[in-house]
Amino acid sequence: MNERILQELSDSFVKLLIPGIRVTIPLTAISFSLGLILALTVALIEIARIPVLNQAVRCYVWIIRTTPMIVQLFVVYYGLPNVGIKLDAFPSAILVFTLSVGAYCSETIRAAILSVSSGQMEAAYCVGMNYLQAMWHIVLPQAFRTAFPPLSNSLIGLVKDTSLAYSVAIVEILATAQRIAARTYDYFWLYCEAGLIYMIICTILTFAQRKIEKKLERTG
Amino acid sequence: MLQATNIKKRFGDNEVLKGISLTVRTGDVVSIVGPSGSGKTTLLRCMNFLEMADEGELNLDDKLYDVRKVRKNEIREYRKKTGFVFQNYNLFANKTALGNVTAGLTIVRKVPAKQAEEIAADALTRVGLQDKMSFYPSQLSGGQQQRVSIARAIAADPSVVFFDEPTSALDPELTKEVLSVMKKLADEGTTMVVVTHEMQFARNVSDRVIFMEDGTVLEEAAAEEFFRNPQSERSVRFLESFSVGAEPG
Repeated sequence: MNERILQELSDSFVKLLIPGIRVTIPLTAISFSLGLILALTVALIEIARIPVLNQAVRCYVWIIRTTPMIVQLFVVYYGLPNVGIKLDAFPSAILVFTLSVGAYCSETIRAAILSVSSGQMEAAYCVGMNYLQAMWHIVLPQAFRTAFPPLSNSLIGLVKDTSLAYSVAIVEILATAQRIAARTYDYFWLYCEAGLIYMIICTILTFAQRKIEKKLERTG
Repeated sequence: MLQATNIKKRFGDNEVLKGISLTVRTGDVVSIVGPSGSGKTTLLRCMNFLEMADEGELNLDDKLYDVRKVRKNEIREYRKKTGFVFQNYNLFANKTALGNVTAGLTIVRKVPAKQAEEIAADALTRVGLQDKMSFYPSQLSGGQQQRVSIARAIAADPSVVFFDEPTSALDPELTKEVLSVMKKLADEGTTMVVVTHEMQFARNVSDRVIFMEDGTVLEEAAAEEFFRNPQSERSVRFLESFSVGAEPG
């Protein structure tokens, strides 16, 4: 590695960090938040076995789990305009990532809710709570502790999956690296540096996960 | 006052309760005893709608509930006037001892937090746990957990408290500690229906004993009367099984 490359890498580091902060992180944060709400809704529908809705959400989960995310992105961004629905690149990516988080995490959340002993629900009923109060105040907080590690895993997975947004012309970390390298021909170093940015973000998240897990352990 | 009339329940082909009626007057302590599988616990659960009876009526404080027609909000009203203590405690694992007791007050009855905490502290003091209020269930012994669950059941000053084999999961020492709390409540005038295998408790603390066998009430009598002079051959045999090596009472 010569001095020129070192210089170039240190220049490009900030250039890669900016789309990381302005694109990757918001894309992840928005999709994951919306996805978790969707996942919880799907999980509750499945647990309550609400007719029709239950079949509908199972069909949705099945479709998302059996098709590649990049195909979903292409269908939404390049395909939907054919049937008159035009979405910009960023909303398209949000939609696809949200649906993905919703499908995968619904399984995690459903299993976590079912792992809470049925006696907890009965005890909540006995002090006069209704279904939603019992779920919200008693069952879900306990399910959350069980679901937290696998959900953190999904979050870290999503950070990396956002690089697929590159394929619908969103200028995120990878696309930026590619643009710089196209000028300098240092593909090897720039792609490694793009990987490094993802490593940094995911490592920070992992540390945060450990901290929160420790905190959750302490209560109860 | 709680009055159950003709409670029937079947699970598939198995008729668990064959038309049970009983009356619990205010301030009464009624023990339900009998062999395993006689339907005691199912009866208790039916009396709090944890199990839905197929037929029968419940009358709590002069309000009538037909189990076939009862609506969800009526069930919640009914439960707000009762307390339930489980065999395995079922304390809310995500809440402290204090939080377990306040939950029903703040969430259900919308009592302001501070006032709820005072009521809960008072209830926990009554069961002797004033110094464990900030402990989580996992940090408490079985006996302490059961006492928290008793505090939870009595906090809102219910018309009747149901106990479902409250000491069956405890060793003899912890059993004693829980029973003494229950005796104290009984002495303070709490209305209690207790499914139990503790014959000493049934004899010494309860006013009346109901002996169940195979989904029916075989015998109902004042406690002392039941133990001194059981009427049926079945109850005699049942009581004998407890007196191996020692005279009961």
